[in-house]
Amino acid sequence: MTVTDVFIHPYPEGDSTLQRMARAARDAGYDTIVAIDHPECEYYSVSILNGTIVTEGTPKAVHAAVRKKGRGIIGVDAGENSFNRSVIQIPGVHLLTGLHRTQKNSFDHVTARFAAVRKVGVHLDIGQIITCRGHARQKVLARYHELLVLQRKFGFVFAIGSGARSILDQRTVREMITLTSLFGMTQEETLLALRGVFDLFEHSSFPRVVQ
Amino acid sequence: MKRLPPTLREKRRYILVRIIPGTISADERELYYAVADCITSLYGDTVAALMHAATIRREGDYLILRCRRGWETKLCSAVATVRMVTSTPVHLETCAISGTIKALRKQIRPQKKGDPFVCTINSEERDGIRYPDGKIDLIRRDMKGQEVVFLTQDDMEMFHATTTKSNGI
Repeated sequence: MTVTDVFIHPYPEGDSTLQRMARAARDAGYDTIVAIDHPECEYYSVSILNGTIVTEGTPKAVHAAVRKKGRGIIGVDAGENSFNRSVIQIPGVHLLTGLHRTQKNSFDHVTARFAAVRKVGVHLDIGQIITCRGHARQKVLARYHELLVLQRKFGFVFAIGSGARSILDQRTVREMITLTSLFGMTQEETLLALRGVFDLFEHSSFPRVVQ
Repeated sequence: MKRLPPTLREKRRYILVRIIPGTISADERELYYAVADCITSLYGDTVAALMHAATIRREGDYLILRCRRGWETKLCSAVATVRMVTSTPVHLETCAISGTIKALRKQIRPQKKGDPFVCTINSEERDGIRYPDGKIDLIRRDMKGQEVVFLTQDDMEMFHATTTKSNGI
């Protein structure tokens, strides 16, 4: 079974190299990690997928950026509701990220249905639960719970990641289960979400070379 | 004073936690403050009081925590949110939960100790610790203070680092 940590930030963005993070991921029970701006490779039996987060503000700019980036897991920073709906329809987009920073109505039931139909996942950054405190953490937990309610109804894919910039930020699968339980996610749902990005990547709408 | 009979005593659970990196020099009291702060921040004072969490002892790279039975899952969640102990970045990884300290002690795996060394990267000398399994923790000192960089032996070759032992050889 594939267990993936989505969107980690190795050196030079973080303080740990990709190899060391791959090693820590293996010890933590993962077999795949999605590293930001690193080529696809394999270290210590852990597959490393190239990940990109597009932070453009308009659907047109996102479209251009996605075409330019090519293969890999592509996440787009979420914005207003109309922007999110447009982004979901763009071929090549795998994930909608940073929804905890957006307004409450930025991802409603219509957008959730679109996401389920278009096979675009929602990225949950568990690192936010660890790093934020007080009101900020309450906001993240409340937002993730709202998304969970929509996910249970419409069945779009969740992708869970630690957002780690260091091996000290990486969490084991068991810790992920306890952390996701804070906003009501069950163990089965967490394990499904940990392999969610793999399914999205398999259903990618990019043309592939068949040998 | 007569001791309470076993049926009236509080039922407890013990949690084994691995301290990463094991080189940090925090005692039980400092680790307790870090854990207690995270419990209060995550669940509030009411749950913190009911949980009755405490640190038993530190044994090398491991720490044994205690809580009231039934609250161990909540304690594990709170432990997973610990990031700092006395302003030093740390990760407390939950390894095992048990009803006895004796059973937890069986789970303790002695960690390999690292050797201190000095290396030169881009004509800049840096201290570090090299572990037998190829892991390397480099200490980076700058204007902002001290920071640890985590890498492996293969990365050192990639950085064209030249190393010497701590005794200068």
